[in-house]
Amino acid sequence: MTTPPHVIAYRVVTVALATVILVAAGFGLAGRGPLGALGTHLRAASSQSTGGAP
Amino acid sequence: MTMRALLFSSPGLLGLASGVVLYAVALYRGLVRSPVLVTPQNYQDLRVKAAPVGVGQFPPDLAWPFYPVRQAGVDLAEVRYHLHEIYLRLWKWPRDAFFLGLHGSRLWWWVFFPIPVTVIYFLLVGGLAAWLCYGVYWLVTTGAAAANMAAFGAAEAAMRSAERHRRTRRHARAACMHCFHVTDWPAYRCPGCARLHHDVRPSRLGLVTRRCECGTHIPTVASRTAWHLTAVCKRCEQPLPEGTGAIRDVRVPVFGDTSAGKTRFLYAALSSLVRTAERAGLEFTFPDKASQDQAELGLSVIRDGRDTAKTSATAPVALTCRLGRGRRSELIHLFDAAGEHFRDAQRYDELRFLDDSQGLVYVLDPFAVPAIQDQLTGHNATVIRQAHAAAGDPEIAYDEVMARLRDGGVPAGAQRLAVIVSKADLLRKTGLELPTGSAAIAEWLKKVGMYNLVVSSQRDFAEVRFYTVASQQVAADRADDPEAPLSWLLRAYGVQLPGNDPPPGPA
Repeated sequence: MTTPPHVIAYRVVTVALATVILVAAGFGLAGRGPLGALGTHLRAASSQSTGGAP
Repeated sequence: MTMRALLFSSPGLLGLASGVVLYAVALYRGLVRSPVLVTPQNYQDLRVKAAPVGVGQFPPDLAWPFYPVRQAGVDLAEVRYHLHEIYLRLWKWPRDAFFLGLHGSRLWWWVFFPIPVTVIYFLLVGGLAAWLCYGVYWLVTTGAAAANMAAFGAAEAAMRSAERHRRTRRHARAACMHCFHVTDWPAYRCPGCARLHHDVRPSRLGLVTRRCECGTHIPTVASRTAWHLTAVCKRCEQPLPEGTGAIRDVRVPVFGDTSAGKTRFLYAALSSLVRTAERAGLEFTFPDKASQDQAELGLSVIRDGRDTAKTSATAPVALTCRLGRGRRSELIHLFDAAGEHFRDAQRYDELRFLDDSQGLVYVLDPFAVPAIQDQLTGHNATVIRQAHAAAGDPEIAYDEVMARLRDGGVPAGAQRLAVIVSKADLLRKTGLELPTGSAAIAEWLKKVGMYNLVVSSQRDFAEVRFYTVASQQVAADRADDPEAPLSWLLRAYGVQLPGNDPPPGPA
C-alpha cells in the first residue's frame, strides 16, 4: 500500500527538525554557531565571576 | 585528558561520525526502505479490538488515521529496532575477536591492547552518538505528536460541538423513505471506491477532511459532506436526497381512520403549499421520482376535483418534497398510511415512521361522529353519500397511534398535534354551522361527543391545534384552508414558509 502524503510530510518534518537540533548541537560542541557562541559567552561570564581564574 | 579532548581524538571523531551514519541508516531503513504502515484496516482492527462493535453499531470507518495517533509510535519503534540491529551487528566481530577468541588468540589481541581499546572506544562513542541522535528524534516526534494531539483534541471538541449545535438548531437529521429509519446523520458513499463512511464527524481520522482507504479526500463535517457525496441510509443503504444530514428535515405523518380523508387532506395541503411557494417565488420540488409521480397523481386528483382512490393497505406512502434550493432548502416528508394500519396491532412495524415524527396530523371524519350523524338525519342525502363516512369510531385510530407511541417509548409530550376535522366543505353544504378558530373547534368537538379525544390529545401532546379543512371549496376567509395545519407544524420546526396567514388561536 502506498504511503499517504500526510505520513510522508510528518516524517520529513520530524526528521528535519531532529536534524536541525543535532546539527546545532554538533556545531555548539565544536564552539561554532549559536550554541557555540552561547557556550563561549557562558564560559567568559563564569571566568569573570571567579576573578579571571582559569 | 579532558572529556572534550577524548571526544575530539581521532577514534572519538570517527565514532561520532559513524554514530550519525548509523542513525541515518536506521532512519532510512525504518522510514524509507521498509516502513511499517498503519493502514486503515490495521487501525480499524485495533479499535474494534479495543472496543468491540455492538449490535446496531458500525465498525470505525476505513480511512487513514491522523499521524500522531498510531503511525508516530510505529515509526519510532521501527527506527529503534533498526538502530539496535545495526549496532549489534557492528559489535559482532570485535566481540568474537576480543572476548570469545574466534579470530585468533584472545591473549594476543590483548597483548596489543591499544587495538581492542581503540576499537571498543570507537564503538562506544559511535553507539552513544547514534542513540543520542535517536533520542533527539524521539523527543521531536513525541513532542510534536503530543502538541498535535492536544491542539487536535481541542479543535475536534469545538468542531463537534459546533456541528451538534447547528444540527439541533436546524433539525437536520437523515430520514429514509424506504425503511423509515431516522438517524442523526446518514452514511456517505465514497466517490472513489463506493465504500460507506458511517461517521464523518471530525475525529482521529481527520479534522477537516479525511482520506478514505482508496485515497479520496472526504470532508469531515456533514454540512459539507452532504453536498459532495451521496448520502445513504445506514440501515437499508438506499440513496437519500442531496443535502440529507445538512439541511432541515421535518417529518409529518397523517393518521386517522379508514376513509377519514387523510390522503385527500395530504394532497390538498400539498397543493395549497405548492401554490403559496409559487406565489413567493420559492422553488418547490420532489427529490425522487417516486415522490414526483405520486405527487403529480395526487395533485391532479385534487385540482380536477376527482375522488381520491383508497390508499393501498400494503405499505404506507411516504412523500418527500424540497422547499427552496441548495443549501438553504428544507426537506419535508409526509406520511400517509391506510386506516387499516392503525387498527391492526400486528402491523405496528409498518408504522415505524410515527416514532421519529416531529408533528402529527390526526384526521377526524365528522360524518363518523354519532352526534353529528344524528344531527344530519334527514338533511342533504346526496352530500352525506358523497362524504363516504368512515365506518369506525374516530377515537380508535387515535388511541391505537397513542398506544404505538407509548409502546415505542416515543415522547409524544414533546410533539405537536394538528387535529383536522375533514370534509368541512361537505359539512357546510348540509347546512351545519362550523366554528372557526382552534379553541372554538375544540369546544364544538367536545359538545358533539369527542370530549375524551380533545382532552386526552391536549394532555398527551405538547401543543394541539384544531382545524376544519376542506379539500375543494375553501371558505373565503381561508378558515378551511388545508395548508394551515401543515404550515403550523412546519413553522414550529423552523421551516421558512412564505405567506401571512395568521395561525389559529391556541386551544
